[in-house]
Amino acid sequence: MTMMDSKKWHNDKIRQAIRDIPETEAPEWLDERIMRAISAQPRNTGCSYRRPVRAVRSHVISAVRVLVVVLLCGGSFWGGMHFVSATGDLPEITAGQLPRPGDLVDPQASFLLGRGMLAAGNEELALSYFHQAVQLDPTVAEYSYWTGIAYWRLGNMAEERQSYGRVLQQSPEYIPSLLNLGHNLLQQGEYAEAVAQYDTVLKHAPGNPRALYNKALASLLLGQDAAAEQGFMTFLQTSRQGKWAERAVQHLERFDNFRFRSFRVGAAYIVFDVQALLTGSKAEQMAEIALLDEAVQRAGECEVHFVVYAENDLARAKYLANDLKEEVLATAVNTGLDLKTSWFDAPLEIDAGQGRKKSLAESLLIFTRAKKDNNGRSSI
Amino acid sequence: MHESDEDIVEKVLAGRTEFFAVLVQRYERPVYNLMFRYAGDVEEAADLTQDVFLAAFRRLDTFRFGNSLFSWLYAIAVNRARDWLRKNNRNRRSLHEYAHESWQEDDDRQNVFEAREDCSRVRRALDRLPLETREILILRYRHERTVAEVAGIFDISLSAAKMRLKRGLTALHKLLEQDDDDGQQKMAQR
Repeated sequence: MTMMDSKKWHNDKIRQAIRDIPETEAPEWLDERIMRAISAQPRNTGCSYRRPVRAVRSHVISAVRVLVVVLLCGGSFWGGMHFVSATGDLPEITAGQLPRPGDLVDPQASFLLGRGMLAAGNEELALSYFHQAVQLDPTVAEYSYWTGIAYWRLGNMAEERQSYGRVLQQSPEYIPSLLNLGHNLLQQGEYAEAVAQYDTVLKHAPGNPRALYNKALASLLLGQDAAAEQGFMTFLQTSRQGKWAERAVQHLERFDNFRFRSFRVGAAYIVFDVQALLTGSKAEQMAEIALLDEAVQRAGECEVHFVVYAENDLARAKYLANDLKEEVLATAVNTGLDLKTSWFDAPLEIDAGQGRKKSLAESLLIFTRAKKDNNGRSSI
Repeated sequence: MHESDEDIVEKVLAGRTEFFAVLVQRYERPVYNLMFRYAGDVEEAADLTQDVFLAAFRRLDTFRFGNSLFSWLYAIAVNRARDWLRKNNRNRRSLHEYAHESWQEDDDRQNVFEAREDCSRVRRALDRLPLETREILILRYRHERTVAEVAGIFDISLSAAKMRLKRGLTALHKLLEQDDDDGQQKMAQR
């Protein structure tokens, strides 16, 4: 069982995906061309008898509107006068005014104000402060980088890209800009370029999880399934917890790759390399055991259960279970680890998403159970 | 202040032709996209879009106040698209070849990428549906029109519209599952 629902194509999901289908912009020149053609048309005489009717209607509507406006204005004036006469005082208007971006001379102050405005959701003003910071000190990469972020929030992908470009001209190894440029390319549908950009990130920051994941995703969107599969596996070598790890497991399942599986240890879901645990090299096995050890320590007092499956081979299932148990007990730092194993000569049946069942000839199930104290209460 | 479609129509009918530009700006994109899905060519789609707005301008006095202008305009567009298709035997454009519009830090953007992947698969599946079934689904769920409006625009009965939507979703569902199975078989054969 995984933290996230298995990926089923139910109608709600399909409707949402149709809703999210992007639309392309019409060519820039089209609306002008249309209006030129419209202007060249003879005046719309329509049915002449309708025009006076519409004209009257519009006058009637306008009169109503005027009346509403007059009532609102009059009401506001009366209300204000009443307030003044009741309180004997007009409310004071006070405002703590922010400095105008153009008035600032300290680039760091301008930058910090921009960050504040961005956090407050005022992207336009944030952009002005960031521009001022960049103008005052164009050598600080962070200022241009955040300018890019503000542009992205405003939906201006072209300017976002240019901002990162400016940073990278001065600081070609500035990882945040390298990474966000990759995101920009991915979001713009330039998948091949995005893959190349994430490769650049990984050259400078090997193992960067976001770059690894998105490179795999970009490969998937390019239709390069083999590269995508490998990419998600590489990502999972470094990231075993959280939403994106779970998502990577789901992507692999679509490729019929069940090597990585998510198990609940205590309150947390952790992704384990099952193949490494059962039949991997010593180093691979120890890495998984270390992960388990750490997870169990965080979970508190609990029993850890391993269930090993080997289709039609009870001896093998028993061997794998006992071998794993020995390795875990020998390697785990947590000496109080309460480990129980069982084994079956049957395949492990799992839910592989979209209502499909999958049969794994050789696999492992991991789960934990809270320990009960002497009074029979759970200690977790 | 945002003026209603009806206010704009009134102004145009009163002789203020320049206000028609507001309607063009408001509805150009969905109409252009519809035409592009049929024609598969920028120039062709632009020509067809222009035809639609010209036709709408000429017939503006037939628009009934109280109805949706978008539905009225879209019906003109669907009919123009059908006419074009009858006269042209072109291969339909794959939705997958669309230029991508940018949507919307970190987890927000990441969710966009993941949704894009789902969208990509749904688009491929939509592409394999009969053309009008595809357009009916897009009109209903992308443009969020009521079933009654869909029926009106495509000039079919309400029950026919409901049936085609239901069948369209079922067919889409099957295509997506098939796409998953094909992907897995492809990987297993490597």
